[in-house]
Amino acid sequence: MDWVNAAVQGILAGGLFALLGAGLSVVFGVMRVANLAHGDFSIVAAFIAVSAADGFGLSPAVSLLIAAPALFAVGYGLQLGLLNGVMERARDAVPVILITFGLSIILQNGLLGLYTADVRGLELGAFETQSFAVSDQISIGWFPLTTLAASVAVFAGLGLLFDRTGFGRALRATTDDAVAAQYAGVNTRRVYAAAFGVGLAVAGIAGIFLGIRTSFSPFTGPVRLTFAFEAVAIGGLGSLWGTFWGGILLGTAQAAGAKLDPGWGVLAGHLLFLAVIAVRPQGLFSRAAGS
Amino acid sequence: MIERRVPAATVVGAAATTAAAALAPIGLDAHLQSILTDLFVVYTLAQCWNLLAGFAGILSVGQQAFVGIGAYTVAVLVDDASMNPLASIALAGAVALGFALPLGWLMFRLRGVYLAVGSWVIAEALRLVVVNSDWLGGGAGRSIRGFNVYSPGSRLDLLYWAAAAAAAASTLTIYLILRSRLGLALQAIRDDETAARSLGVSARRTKFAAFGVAAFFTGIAGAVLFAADLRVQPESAFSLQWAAVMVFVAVIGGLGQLEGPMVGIVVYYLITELITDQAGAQLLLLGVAAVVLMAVMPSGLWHPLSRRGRVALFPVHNRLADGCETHRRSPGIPQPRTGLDQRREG
Repeated sequence: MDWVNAAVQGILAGGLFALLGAGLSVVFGVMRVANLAHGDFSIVAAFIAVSAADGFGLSPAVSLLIAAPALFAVGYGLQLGLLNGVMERARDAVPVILITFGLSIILQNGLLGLYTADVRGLELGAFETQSFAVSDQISIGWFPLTTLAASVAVFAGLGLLFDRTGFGRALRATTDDAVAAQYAGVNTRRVYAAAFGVGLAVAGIAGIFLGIRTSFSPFTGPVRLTFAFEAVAIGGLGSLWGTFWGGILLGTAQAAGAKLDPGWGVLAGHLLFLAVIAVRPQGLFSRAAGS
Repeated sequence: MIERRVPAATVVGAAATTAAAALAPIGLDAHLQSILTDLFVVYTLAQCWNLLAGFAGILSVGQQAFVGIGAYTVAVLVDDASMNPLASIALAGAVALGFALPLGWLMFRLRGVYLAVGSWVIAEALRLVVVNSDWLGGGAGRSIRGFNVYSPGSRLDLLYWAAAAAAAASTLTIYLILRSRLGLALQAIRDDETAARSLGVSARRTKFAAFGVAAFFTGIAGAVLFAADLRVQPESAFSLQWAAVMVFVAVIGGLGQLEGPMVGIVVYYLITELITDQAGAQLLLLGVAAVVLMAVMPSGLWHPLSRRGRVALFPVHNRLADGCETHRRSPGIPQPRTGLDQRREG
């Protein structure tokens, strides 16, 4: 029964890893570029919520409504002002990847200067710890359940955005063939900018939920990136719902590892990822052969 | 005709620099000597990363794995096996090389962006294994007592020479590799793996060779770094900070040029010694410099200094000997080349 409980808690936590991965998956799917600063941007959102709580007494739930659009704007501006130009001049993805790696280190040390290395957390009041009992051994927290529901809602929202809107059509056209999309009148530079913005906004949402769940410091970003990346890689390339299930599997593996030994949780997640790339590098839910 | 001789100026210059570096401890005070030790180590890290990312197209940001492996190897060898400190530093490189085989096998299943983050996860996984290992001291790490047999002064000398030797040996090794058949194969794979394989280049073996050389010298650099601290901890040994430093120094100087890290290390010195001594601010400034250069001058600082590739301290590009250059493109971003560039006949 303990194991069932661990699995349930793992699935609930996995929803957040999936949410982290969703932003990365969108950017990678459209531009074939991974944003190595993805985790650090999620931490930026969490620190926006810290400032909003310290300065104005705002709840993280309200900060979410500020941080997500703010990160969308940052992502949009970054892609339009800097990354589009670099992508057009470069033959491969190397310069863009290295720039996002540089941004990652800049954000970490910038946050260190602004907020010191102290470990922080976000408070949601009593709701954070309330739960209901399913059976004698298993109880489900309202907050973890909310995060899983939010994650499913974001994935469904992204699915609708891509499948049912004009922007989604332009995005899919750009993904398939950017030059042809341009001939058809799509402004691919703005499509890329919007995709990067959406990626960061989702990272921000995940960052605030994770900030309520666990504590963080300016240097937590890289760990978040590894979780996001593992969710994407386990799920498989180019499959949005694959990323969701990848996140759920990652959360379950971490919960199972932590059940064996408290120090093995994160390591178990890494080992699952390594096992997947050793056996099936294209991911578990991807139809594509090879990455 | 292809120029195959190593220019006399390169030989004389490199020999003079090496001799000057070897004799430097006689005239230097301890503070300057430890700064130089640090610079040699960071240079070695950056040159190894340059070999991977600049010449072999292996965009790993997990090379801190080998810094950590080198550091822990030296700790175990000098303390648990009571080995001679210098021999244990050299063996740290060999152990890192040994780890490069299985880790490379995992990494090379991934490509491009995937490889970048995958290598990072591998380094993280190793760190967590060390954190959970009582033998290696767990999260608190362990002290490296074997270097206490020396007086502080002679310990400084020993580590200085080890660092200088690592810098010189890594440069020489990478230079010779790049001028060899292996070097041509590496750059061919970087520019177009499918085309290189269709010409009979074994992509796998070539990548492993570059990865192994980088692992060896990165391991030695890690051993020297932490032997100087007399203590090794998983957080610092497997820190992403090492990846950041090697990437920034190589990118600032110029990726895919042997002279790149030599220029980058000067910028590193200026920022870390003259502008600020606060670690966070140093990395911030290095990061800003690297990002700005990547955006506006992706071939780095050496490229304009070398008069756009006409001057080379360590010539590794193949060009026609009659002065008619075929390789005049910016080296930071590999361009498709004509068949003439790649042909290599005596």
